[in-house]
Amino acid sequence: MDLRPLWLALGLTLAGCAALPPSPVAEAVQLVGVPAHAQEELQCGPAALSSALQASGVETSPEALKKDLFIPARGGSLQVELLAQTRRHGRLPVQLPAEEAALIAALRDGLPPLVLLNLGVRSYPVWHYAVLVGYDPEQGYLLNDGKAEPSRYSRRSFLRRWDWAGRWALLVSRPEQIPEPVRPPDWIAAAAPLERSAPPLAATAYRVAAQRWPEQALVQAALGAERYAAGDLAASVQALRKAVALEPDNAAYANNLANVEWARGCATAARTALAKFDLAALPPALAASLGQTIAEISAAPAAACPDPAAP
Amino acid sequence: MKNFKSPLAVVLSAGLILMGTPGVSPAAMIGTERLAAQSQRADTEARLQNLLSREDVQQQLTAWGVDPVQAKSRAAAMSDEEIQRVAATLDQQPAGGDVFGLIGVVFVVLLILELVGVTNIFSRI
Repeated sequence: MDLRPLWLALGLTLAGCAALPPSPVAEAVQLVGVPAHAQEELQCGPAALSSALQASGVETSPEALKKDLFIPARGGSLQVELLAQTRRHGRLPVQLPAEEAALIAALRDGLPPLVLLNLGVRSYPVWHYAVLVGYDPEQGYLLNDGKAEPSRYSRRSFLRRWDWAGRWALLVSRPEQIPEPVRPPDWIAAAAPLERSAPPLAATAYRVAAQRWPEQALVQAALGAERYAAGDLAASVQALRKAVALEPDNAAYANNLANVEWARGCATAARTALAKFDLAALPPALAASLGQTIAEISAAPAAACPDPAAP
Repeated sequence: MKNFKSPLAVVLSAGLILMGTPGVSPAAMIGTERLAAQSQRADTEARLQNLLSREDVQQQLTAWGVDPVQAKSRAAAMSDEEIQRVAATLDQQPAGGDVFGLIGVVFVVLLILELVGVTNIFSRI
């Protein structure tokens, strides 16, 4: 039986889905000084995180990270634990936008993205962590993927494996420096858990965010809440007022502004901040928070107070 | 009001009311972690209904063979938002390990099926 027509048909079908989009950049980029670790069996999580942390100046090793990352019965490491352990080492675990251009922008910014790959297929996934250390429009991607030397992946094969793992990519960032491709909500989300474990690092991350994105309401809201927790009510009110001015319909920002106004004795301003919101129209959890704030401030006598921005 | 007989108590109470209570977070403040999560994804409210605790995560890690002391500190290192996000679906989260030698007839067939399947992944990149 002649199978040639079948192979031809199969070849054409495969070619049909082979249209790669043009390369996001024309030039190659390669990072030096990102350690590659030859991993032990099932230890790609510690190996990859160690590479990324070391590239960020943290002294660690796959062996040191193993006890905090490996799960024997699952034969691997969870994404959420990579985030938690990154914070434990004083770095921000920042999620990258799910685009190839973001990976390359991070490389050009000097940071190696930690990616999740699916080496199997979607119906039979085989998960693997690796660290991206280079890109070349001709030759594809260079990854620290658990061997002593970086491995070369064609652009097509890398993108498929990354896509089939949900295009998850993590940057290990210093709190004082926002990598180029990072978006404001992802930066704030990476910093917020540090408010609990390392408040000065969260404060630094918010401060640099407010310098880079002064017109982002979420950034101002984060700074406002952090300043409040630090006892700096004047700065807190200033930032929260900015957040509310940027997004007047955001009830959560208004709620936090009301709380801080109330805390500094300005019950009148606190009431004004919430006057426009109809609790019945808000999601239940948010309405509950606002209801609680209103209950607290309505117990206080009316009090005006000076604007903190005034000289 | 027996307590208010002390002039000191009256002064202190009045002071507290006027000054508010800086440093003590009012219960009604909404944390930045939640605000950021709402900006990242709109489905936070729905997920927050599904309350599971840090202890659940810790127990699951221990059940999976992690040393109990390590399991406790590892669960403690996760943020509230992360606990909420993963606790209910911990057993479905991908655990990156590796199987370098995975090649077989079934794998090749699945790979071809998925490559010629309806989704053209590269058109989405």
